[in-house]
Amino acid sequence: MKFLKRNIGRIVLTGLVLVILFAWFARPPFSWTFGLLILVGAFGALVTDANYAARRIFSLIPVLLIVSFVVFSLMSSLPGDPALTILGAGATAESIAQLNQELGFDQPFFNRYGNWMGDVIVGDLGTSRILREDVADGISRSITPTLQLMAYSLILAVLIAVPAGMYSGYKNGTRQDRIISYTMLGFLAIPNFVLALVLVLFLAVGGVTIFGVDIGFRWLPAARYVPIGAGWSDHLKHMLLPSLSLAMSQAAVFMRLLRSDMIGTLRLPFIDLARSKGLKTGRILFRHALRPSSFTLITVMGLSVGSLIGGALITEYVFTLPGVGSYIFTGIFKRDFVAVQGAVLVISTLFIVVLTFSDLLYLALDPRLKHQSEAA
Amino acid sequence: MIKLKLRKRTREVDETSRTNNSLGLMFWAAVSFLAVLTFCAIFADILPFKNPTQTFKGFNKNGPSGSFLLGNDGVGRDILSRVVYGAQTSLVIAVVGTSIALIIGGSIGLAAGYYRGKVDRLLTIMLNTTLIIPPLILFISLILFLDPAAERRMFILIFTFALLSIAPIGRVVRANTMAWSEREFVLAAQTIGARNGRVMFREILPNVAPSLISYSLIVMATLIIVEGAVAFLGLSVPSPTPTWGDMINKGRPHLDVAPHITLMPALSMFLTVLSLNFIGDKLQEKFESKAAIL
Amino acid sequence: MAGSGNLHLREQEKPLLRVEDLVVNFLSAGGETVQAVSGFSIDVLEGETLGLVGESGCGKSTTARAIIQSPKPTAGSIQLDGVELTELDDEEMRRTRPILQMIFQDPISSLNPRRTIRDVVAEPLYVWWEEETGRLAIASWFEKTGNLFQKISSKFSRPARILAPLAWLSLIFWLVSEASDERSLETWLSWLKTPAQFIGFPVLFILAAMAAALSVVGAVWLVLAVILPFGVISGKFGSVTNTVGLTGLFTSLFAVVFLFFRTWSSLGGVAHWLSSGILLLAVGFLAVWSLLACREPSRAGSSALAVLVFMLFAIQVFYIVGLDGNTKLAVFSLSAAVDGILYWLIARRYKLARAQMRQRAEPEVKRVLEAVGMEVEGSLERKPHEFSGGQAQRISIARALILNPKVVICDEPVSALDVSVQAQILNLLEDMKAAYGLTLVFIAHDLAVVKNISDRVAVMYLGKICEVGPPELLYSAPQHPYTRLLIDAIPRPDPEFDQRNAVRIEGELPSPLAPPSGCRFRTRCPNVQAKCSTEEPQMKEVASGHYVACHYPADSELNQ
Repeated sequence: MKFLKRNIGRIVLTGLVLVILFAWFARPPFSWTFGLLILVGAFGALVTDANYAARRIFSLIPVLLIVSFVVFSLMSSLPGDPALTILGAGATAESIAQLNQELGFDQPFFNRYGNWMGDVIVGDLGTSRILREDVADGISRSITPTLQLMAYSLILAVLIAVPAGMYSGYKNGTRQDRIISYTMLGFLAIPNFVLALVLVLFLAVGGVTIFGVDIGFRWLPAARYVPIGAGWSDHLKHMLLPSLSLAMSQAAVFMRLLRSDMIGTLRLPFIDLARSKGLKTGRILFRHALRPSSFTLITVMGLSVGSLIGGALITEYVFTLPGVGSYIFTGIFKRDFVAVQGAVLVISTLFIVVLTFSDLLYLALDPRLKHQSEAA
Repeated sequence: MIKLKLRKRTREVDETSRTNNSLGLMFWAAVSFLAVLTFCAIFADILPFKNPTQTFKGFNKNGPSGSFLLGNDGVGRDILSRVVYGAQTSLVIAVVGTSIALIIGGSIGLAAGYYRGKVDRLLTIMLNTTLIIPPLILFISLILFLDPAAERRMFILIFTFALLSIAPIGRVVRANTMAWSEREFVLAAQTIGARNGRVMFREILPNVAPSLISYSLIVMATLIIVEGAVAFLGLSVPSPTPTWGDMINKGRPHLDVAPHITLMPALSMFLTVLSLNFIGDKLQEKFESKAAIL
Repeated sequence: MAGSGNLHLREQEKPLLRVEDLVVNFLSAGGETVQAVSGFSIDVLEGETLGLVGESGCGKSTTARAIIQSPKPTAGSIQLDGVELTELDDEEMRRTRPILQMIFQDPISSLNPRRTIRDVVAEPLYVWWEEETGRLAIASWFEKTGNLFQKISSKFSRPARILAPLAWLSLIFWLVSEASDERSLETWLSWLKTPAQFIGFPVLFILAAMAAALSVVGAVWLVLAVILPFGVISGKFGSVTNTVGLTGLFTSLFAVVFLFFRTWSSLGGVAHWLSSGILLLAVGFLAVWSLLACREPSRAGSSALAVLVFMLFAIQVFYIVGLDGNTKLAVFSLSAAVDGILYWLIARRYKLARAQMRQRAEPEVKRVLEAVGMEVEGSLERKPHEFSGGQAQRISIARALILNPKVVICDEPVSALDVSVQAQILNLLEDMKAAYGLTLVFIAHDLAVVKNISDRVAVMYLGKICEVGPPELLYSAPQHPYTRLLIDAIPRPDPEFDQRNAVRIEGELPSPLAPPSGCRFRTRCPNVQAKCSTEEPQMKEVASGHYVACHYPADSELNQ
């Protein structure tokens, strides 16, 4: 009994892993999120303790239920008859009624929700009549460019933000600091779709002439998605502009955070100690100051996935990438709510999982918090 | 060598203290830009702006000129007056959305931070639920599906914006309230016999307000960007009414021949957001350095 | 040590403050119970000064806060002047607070940095004056109607009993019908829009604003009329206010939820849902607020005013947003002008009322500030951070004294001050005690501080009392080993005495999560015996008025 009580987290996690292994083989996109969930759980179990990680994972269940309910009720409360949309304007009353019955739309709201959830648990997000394909397949096909875009942007943003933030935090109050800070403030104020257009204008379209001087370049392709399979260099070349336009505002947010935390950290006595030991500035900055300054940054990075998703949607629209954004868009314009609700659910789940992940990472990095969670 | 370094240090310190003491020229430039923009937007009908929906034949895609200060767009409309009328939409949505979020999120955060315990847990769950669904997605679904009728877009926009900004504002207020509630003057006020409401509004709120104001300016800037994005996708206030995002979108096909059609509204949006962020930042800095004295 | 028992309570006399078996537990972050105070008893006679001494973390401050009921103690009894504080509800406690004041440890933190000294010191007066009279002149109107309704409802209580349920039903019906009429808002808007084309917007808007204002006022009257009779049923207003308030809240919540689901299913349009929702919420708030009008007209006056302004604002926003682009400007600027005038009027009234109150409070503020030895000239309009710690503590004392309290609890009032200032503040407290006839509870972690000003000293260890007695006895013949250690720790200006040879307290204070069994001091006691871990020592009298909770006090045979 005592063994059970002490190891409840590990037992539950093992059970969860088994259930998810089953789900993994059921359907791709949803099992991805489930797979991520396990990964997060395993990571959490590694860096904190299994009980805490299990508690975090299980506290996600009501949240996921709320999300699914919100998404479902939002979508099922749309005006217009879905059967009519599917069949078109020329449909007869009988065929509409028949299709409604077939799709289960004549059932009460909670029955429909129950059925849908039952399917979703095993990874079946339904079949879209309008796009004529399985929603799970559609999402798993289109989620790749989106995830790539988001990942590249996040990496780019960090690559830009960390050195810039550290340098201007270190040079706090000087001219260099002000130049970097104001530049970043500027990038914060440029909406990503505007940045995308400007980048396309100057780096892809070309032909911009000011006083007869051509200042445009035709270095990079403006649109079109090239999968990794077609060659890495080509792929990255095509993804550079979209990622850059998405990354800059995030980089600005990250940089500003890191800068202010860095300033705070550099005032702490242990930095003085490191300095008095005669360590080099670079070593002090990277080895001693970066980690304690990056706690807020990591939480915000988790939260920024929300705005990344929103931004990715628009960026895909500008660069005509076949991602989830475009998928949702097609769904919305064709009024295909089965597809939209599936995609929204997958993205929201992803978002929640990433948030939890960043929380656990935060715990792993900050030993003080880990201690607290253990004491609790 | 040591001497050289010392001299450098002193100069740095001087510069920091200078920026801390006064708000600086940039701040006032930002304020006056916003003031002019707001003034033009409110009194656009009275001021000598051209009709934003009137097309001037033969002026299509013309660059800036004497009679059309910012040039003409793809069908020959005056970009300047469209920018000004677009500011109306952006500012109304951002200001009203932020105010509603400020009232609701502010009171939720204040109550959660002051009462703590169960109230806090309940309210925090409420706040976090609105954070779950990625904003833009919630938004597009709401706009496209809930009310296709175009006249009511403004309602939905404001409603969704307010809904989305409640959580961040609420969290900021909650954290600040918690920090200030630790202070003994709060207990002192209770000991005097002041009611909870009085303690919250008279003792805590005045201390929370400065950071709340600067934060809400930043929220306002974000709302302008998001409104731009939504309009860019063609989902904001429908077409005859000018919006910045829509103007940017309409300029896309002419990007190579007439980039000013895209760049002018983009520039005004950029400057507005930049000014709001800058003012928010500066105020925050100012209040923080003041709070450090207290 | 640290034992139980109430032997030291003086039953024959009538103490002003009597604490018996006080227990304060709270949950730690990990869900464990922290036993901060366990079975603390003490009594303080009128005009007496009790010194309460112990290490940091022993529960002194927790005791002080439990006495002022913030937060309420877990168990035990606290009697102030014969009134049992733990049994008072929040409102009754609030009304008792003026006679029980507190002075805090951190003088700067206990003053609101954003208020002037004048306001900080006069705030207690403002609080209680506003309670008595109306704050705003505008509020007096509500006050009058409140009184009128009170009169009417008391006269017609019998018919009201029959009418009240009907009134409630009709309110619900009204809400339901409002909710189910999908077009109501649009008709309302179109009614506003159509004549607008003939009359012109300015005129119309004033009409609309007036109509809105009237409808709000009407709503207030409606709600007052509906709710007051309900209060009559229960006989009196005071005790049932909360019940009625909750009912009002639930009714409006019900209406909102109902509306929500109805709109959800039929999707009548978000605008309708939104504005009705806001209106309904406002009505609900109004219901609750106007309830308070029955009890405290002055307070409800300003709250109702706030709701009124908010509703006016909401209506305007939704009205304006719904207009076409061209008419928006005219309506917007006009409404802004109207609002501006309204807010200006309110602000002026408010300022006037505040100025009057300031003026009324001025002599009182000057009196207490002079009494605590502050320079009044030039300091009234300054903010707390412009003062030194000692000055700020004087201001805190002035604030506590302005209400003429009976008991003042001083929670380490000198710990955060420079040594040179400590004596000044201690002397000031002595003087104030004499001048105002105060009863003091003086908390300190330093025995030396309380020695001269206390009539009785209690030594506390880990949530319990070890020793109580008059300072002469306690300092010259400490009975408890802990007290002895504390006295030895006081630095002495005696060249013969080597502080390093004094017995010291070993180890750390044990965790209040799991206090030691038996005597709580046994883990650090220099002469610990087997009995100490099994049996908890009880209070026993070792000399007249000198009590100790130890199995082996200093004078007992074992130690000799």
